[in-house]
Amino acid sequence: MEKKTIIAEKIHLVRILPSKEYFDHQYALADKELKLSIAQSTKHNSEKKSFKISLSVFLEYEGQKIADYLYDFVFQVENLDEYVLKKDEKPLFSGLLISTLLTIAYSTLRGILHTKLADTPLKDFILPVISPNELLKSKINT
Amino acid sequence: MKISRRKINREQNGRLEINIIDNWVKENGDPAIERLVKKNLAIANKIASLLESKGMKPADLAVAMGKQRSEVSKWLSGQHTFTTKTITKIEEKLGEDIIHIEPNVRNVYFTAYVRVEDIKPAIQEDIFEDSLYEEVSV
Repeated sequence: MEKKTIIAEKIHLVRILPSKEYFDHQYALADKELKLSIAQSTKHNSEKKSFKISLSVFLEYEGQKIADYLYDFVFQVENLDEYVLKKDEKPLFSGLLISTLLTIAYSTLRGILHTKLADTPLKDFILPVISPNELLKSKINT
Repeated sequence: MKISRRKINREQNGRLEINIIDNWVKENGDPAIERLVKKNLAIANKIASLLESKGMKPADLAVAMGKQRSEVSKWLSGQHTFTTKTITKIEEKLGEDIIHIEPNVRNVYFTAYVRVEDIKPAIQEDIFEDSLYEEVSV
């Protein structure tokens, strides 16, 4: 059964877990053009009605790693069953739910990194606004 | 040039009178009236700027309202004490609010629980499997 709408109050962001926090302070980054890579992985636990969205932000300059952040965002979705479109071997979830969770996680990460990078040469760096569709295409290699 | 003593005395008396009036206003002036004068002036300025933004002249407003030009001129001079009825009629003709009444703020209240530590290991130990999802069209 497809659920067309999101009931925000039934979604809970319960944990934010930093898995990797790396910043190389040795480079002078003023006026440098950095390459930014963002990737995600979306996992779930049907029994616990929870999702784990991992977001990776990787910054490099001329092949050198400048920053590498990996954060896990754990959500609980009270009405998870309503977003299951097909239940074969593995459940197929509604894209609306996944993109909503991803958007919440990504926006939260934007705020976290803005604070984290405040004391670095990238103090004014803000994660760009991107379509969740684009973000879903870029998967973390596990 | 010789200035007569009488003239000097007259000027000094004039200044004295102004000072006396100023002091009297400071001591006995009504703050409510002062506020009213400021409000009237602010309303007049707002009407004038709305007319300008709409490319209208005071005469156009007079015609639209069925009033004499002199009355609208008095409104715009800031010397008129507007009634809410007049303000509402002007708003109606200009199609915009002159006075904004602040809306009631509706707060959303939540009950927040600080999760105790035993939840963290439970989530960390949970086994998550890769999710399949339909294509997103955002």
